[in-house]
Order: sequence, then structure tokens, then C-alpha cells
Amino acid sequence: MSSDSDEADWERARAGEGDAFGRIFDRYRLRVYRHSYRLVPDRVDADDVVAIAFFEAWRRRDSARFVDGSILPWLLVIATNSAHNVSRSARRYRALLAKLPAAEHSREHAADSDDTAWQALARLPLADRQVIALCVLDGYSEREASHALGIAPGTVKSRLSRAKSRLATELGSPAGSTNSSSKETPNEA
Amino acid sequence: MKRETESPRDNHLRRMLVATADLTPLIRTTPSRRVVVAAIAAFALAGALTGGALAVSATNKPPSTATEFDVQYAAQRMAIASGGTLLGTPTTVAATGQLQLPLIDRPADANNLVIGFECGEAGVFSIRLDSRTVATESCSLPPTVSNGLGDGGVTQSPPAKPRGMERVTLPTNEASAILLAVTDHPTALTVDAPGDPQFAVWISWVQIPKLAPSAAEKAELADGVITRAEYLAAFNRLVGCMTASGHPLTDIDESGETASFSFDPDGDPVVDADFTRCFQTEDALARQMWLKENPQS
Repeated sequence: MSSDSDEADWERARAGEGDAFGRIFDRYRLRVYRHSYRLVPDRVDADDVVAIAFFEAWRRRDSARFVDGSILPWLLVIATNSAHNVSRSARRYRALLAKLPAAEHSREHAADSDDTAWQALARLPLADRQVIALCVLDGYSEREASHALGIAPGTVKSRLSRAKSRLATELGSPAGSTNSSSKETPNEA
Repeated sequence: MKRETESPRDNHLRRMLVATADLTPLIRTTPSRRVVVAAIAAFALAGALTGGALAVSATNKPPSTATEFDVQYAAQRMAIASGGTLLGTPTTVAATGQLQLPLIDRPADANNLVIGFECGEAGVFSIRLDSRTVATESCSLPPTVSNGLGDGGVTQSPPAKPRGMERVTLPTNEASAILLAVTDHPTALTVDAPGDPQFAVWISWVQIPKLAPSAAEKAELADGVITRAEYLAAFNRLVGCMTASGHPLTDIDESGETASFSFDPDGDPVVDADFTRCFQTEDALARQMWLKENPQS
């Protein structure tokens, strides 16, 4: 474990070194935002999901999971869970969110170019969204997703198959043709 | 979608996350923030207030206008470092010139009050609980005076400061905190500042577990009076306890009526906890009784 690895920084943060948590935030803020942006109706919500995800990660800091040394997949799972019901997720952190300056962009719909895909994704059960988000939107393998979610690879495989079918049904296309969301997203880091 | 650069919201969120992790007193670690506690020359405040009046400066923050988060951080840091638990609903106010905050709904278990303070402009700020002055903070425009304690920019009060008063000089836009043991029911916190400078205040009730006095201190208190020799013996046990814990006190001066010293935990909550333990078990009650018997000290 190198001194600047996610695992090392997470251990330092857990021990009370706040700047180590800051480095994790610096490393993955954009990735978590891009992920969240594809899961919620507007950019303001995406900003809230980012904040909630990092606060929630801290609350659950003792159960963090690392996939090949990276904490990012686990952060994305938390962001997916937070995005599943933003208003409910925000309840716990209402006071903290209220202290943050308002986002600079206006509240606009983030899924202009592909409302249908976003709405279809939003209708999936959380377990399905988790695997779709990790394996389809973010391109993680079933093995990596199983580590991040803490479930067996076989479970990921079956959930992914089921989720694709459901998503295809929602979109009115044949199962298996589901691809990553076509919603406009920035270039991946 | 323009999210490639950090926004003010991102910066603020980052600071909150860093502070949140900093505030988690798990195990001893290299602190990322420097905390300087000014000399504690007069622990007990006449009558109603007992215990320590500490001044803390949370440094290494980017310069900014006074914010609620800064004062909250400094106050929470102080309370947690002292082993305390925040109780009730905290109050935060940004004000100009004069402020009077009613202190209501004191939780039954509360035995301390923590006050976070940050000046937004240069000025001299007098902080009072009811009619009693508990701190005077003098904020100067940067660059501030340094006392050689590092980059905290905190200077100690002049030797002849009034009893019960902590005077520290801080650069503007640095939060400080005062922790007061409260045994009665103060009704209001007042901040006065000539010239109407801006400032922010964050206050919360705190419960700090009481530690039993040591056998030696009990013996000194048993007859209901305390001699100077007993008072100094208690003080020297505090000195010895801190030395034994690896964090000796400095600037020890026993020449005055009240023994004084400096203590620099350097942001380490474990050191703060050591001090709390040593002070409460060896010196607090003896010091309190000594000050009651010698009100001019």
C-alpha cells in the first residue's frame, strides 16, 4: 500500500487527519459528480448527491471497501444509493447541506437529450440501479462490482441480467441492447 | 456542463469534510491543524463560573470573511478536545457592534458552555456572561503580532490582566473558542465592540464528564480551607501529571497569587484530553477554592 494510495489516505482520515479525507475528495469529486449527474433529474440534485455521498462515506468509514486499492467504486455505490431518493438521503444531512453555498448553475433538467433513458433508470429498483450504474455507466467488471457492493459475483451477474432486461423493457428495446446512458456527460478523467 | 474546476461550493464542502475528519477524536495522529491554547492564568471566574477559560485559535484556514462554519469548527474542536459532548440546539449569529443572546433551554446535564467567536473586522470584543466579562478578544488586521508559538498568531495577555479574563490577539478571520464551566444559570451572552465591527458567534451547551479529584487533592480539601502550600502542591501535581504524560507545561510562574502557565497541545486531541484529566484530578478544585479564599488573586 503506497503512502498516497486510497487505502493509506482513508486510514489517515479515519485516524483524524482531515487533509487525507480532503485528498480523497480532490481525487474523486468529479467522478462522483459525473456519476451522480446521470442518476438524478437536475444538476442541483447532483451537487447534493456529491455532498451526501462524501458525508455518508464518512459516516460509514469503518466499512469502506476498496477494489484493487481504489475506494472510488464504493463511493459510486454510496452515490447511487443517495441518488435513489435524494430528498430522503438529504434529510440526515439537511443542516450540513444548508451551510453550503448554492450551486452556481441554475436548476435545469440534466437529461434534456435523453429523458427517456434517465426516467427508465430511475424506475429500476435500487439493487438493479446499483449494478447498472457500476457495470454499465461506469464500466466496472462484475468482479469489481461484486467487491464494491459486497455481494457474490454470481449475484451481480444475475442482477445485471435482470436489470438489463427491465431497462430494455422500460425503453421498449430488446434485452441485451442496453448501453450506457446517452445523456451528455463530460469526458471521464 | 462546467464542473472541471472547483466551485466555491466544492471548496466549502472540502473544508467541511476535512474539518469533519479532524473532529473525529479516534486515535492519536499527526494533526493537520494547529491549535494554540493561550496561558491560563485565572481558571476560576468569580462565583458562578468555575473551571478553565481557554482560548483556541484554529489556523491554516484560507482567509475569508467570518463564517458560521469557522466558528462552529473552532467551538466543536474545543468541546470535543476537552472530552465534551454538545447538548441542545446550538445558536449561531453574525452581528455588528453589540449582540445580546438569551441563554435558554439549558439541558439538565450541561455543565459547560462553549463559545465560538470570529471577528470579521478589526476591533476589541468584550464577551460577557450576564454582567461578568469572560473574555476580551482583540482582532487586528493582518499581519498580526506573533508570540513565537508558530503560525497561530496568538499572543498572550499582558501579565496584569483582570481576573477571569482571557485576552488574546488574533488576526481577523480566525475563529477562536472559549470553554466555560458553568455552575449556575446565566441568562444572556453579550458581545460588545466599539466601532461596530462585524463578528460571528456560535454557542452550545456542553457536558464534560467530571473526574474525581485525586486522593491528595481530596485530602487538601477535606478541612474546607486551602493554604498556599496546599494550593501550590496541587498545582505542582498538575505540572507533574502533564510532564508524566509527555506534554510538560511551559512558562510556569508561581510568583503571583495565582500560579500561571502555558499549554500548547498543538492540535492533538489526546494531549488536550491528558490536560483535562490532569487538571480535573489534581488541580481544579484546589484552584477553585484558592480563588474563592483569595478573591484579589
